[in-house]
Amino acid sequence: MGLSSFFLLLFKKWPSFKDWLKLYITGENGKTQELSPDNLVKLGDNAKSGDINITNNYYFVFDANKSSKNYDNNVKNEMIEQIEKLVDEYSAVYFFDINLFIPRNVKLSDTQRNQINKFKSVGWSPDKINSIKVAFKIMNLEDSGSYEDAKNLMKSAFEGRKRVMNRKFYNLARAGYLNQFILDILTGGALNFDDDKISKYLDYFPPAIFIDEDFVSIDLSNELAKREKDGVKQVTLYSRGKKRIEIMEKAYGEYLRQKISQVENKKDKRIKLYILIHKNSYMIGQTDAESLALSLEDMKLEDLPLFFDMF
Amino acid sequence: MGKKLLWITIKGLDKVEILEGFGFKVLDSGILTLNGKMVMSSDGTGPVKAEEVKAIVPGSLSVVTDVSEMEPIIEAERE
Repeated sequence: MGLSSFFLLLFKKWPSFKDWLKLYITGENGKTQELSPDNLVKLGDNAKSGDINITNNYYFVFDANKSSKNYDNNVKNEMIEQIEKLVDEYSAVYFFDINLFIPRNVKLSDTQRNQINKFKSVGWSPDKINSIKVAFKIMNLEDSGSYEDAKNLMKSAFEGRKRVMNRKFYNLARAGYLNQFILDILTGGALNFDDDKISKYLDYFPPAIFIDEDFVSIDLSNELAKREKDGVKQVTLYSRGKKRIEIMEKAYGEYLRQKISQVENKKDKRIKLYILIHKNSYMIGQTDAESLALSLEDMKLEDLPLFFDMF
Repeated sequence: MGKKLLWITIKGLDKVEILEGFGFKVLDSGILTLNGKMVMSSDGTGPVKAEEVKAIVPGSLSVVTDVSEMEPIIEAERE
């Protein structure tokens, strides 16, 4: 069954569901129009003539009222059966998460498309590529002022099965590291950025730590200790939103106090720790964001700058 | 341009009711089966629980569990 027959069927069934089932088309910006039998005939004609423009930026909503006294379970079953046929025959997508519709109307820039092609050329897996596309789309929505859509797309991306990867790629893209990867690939470092390498980076990315809400002070101390052991000289901490900024600053303050307490009773009072070299406060869309650039230094306790009083 | 798909959703009905209407079966563990076989996500990973399903897309009723899995569908519509 094609789209044309589907709309025709809805038109024919109209009397049996009109009391408990409403049909809508909803477009960009949430603009919604309730459909009448005439609309269904027009949609059917459009579909028949190949002009299914209506589906470009719109989705179709069935709104069922099960508590209506005229609710008909058989008609409902028939509707679902017909929708199933449409999906099975490559004519429709059925979606539960309304936010899945958002990326359909967001375009990638030429630069982003070129970057994606470059990542593909060094063998990054399709799931990573798709995750990066979503990350770019969230950024494009944020940067164009579509904050509500950005928030909703982010919500969907960060709660699905690939939430960890989606969040990591978003963080890497937002902080500019994907641009850095491109530069490295272009300057001959392709082998250093193959799929295995990027998988490892998703688990452990030495130059940056992104602070989540469930981040605790001990996590930061452990993450920095790991980097210190690996000889990572520069690390930047990133956080977004007032709550996370507070968490980050508190965790860094505790890291400093812990480090200092370890050497206070030592004779030489030498201390090796990540000191703050630059604090950057900025906005991502409408949200406050902050980064702390840290540098690993070996110094005497008395030479420690006073910046730690800030935390 | 690729073939445009009609994007559909139903409000007011239970998710399991819709999945079952599509022919899926939800086991007591929440895991989804179709024709007696465990359902895999469109990227080949599985098993899939009913609560994880975000969409059903063309291709033997493939199930999507993450918004990123929609990208190939969106691209195909645009091409």
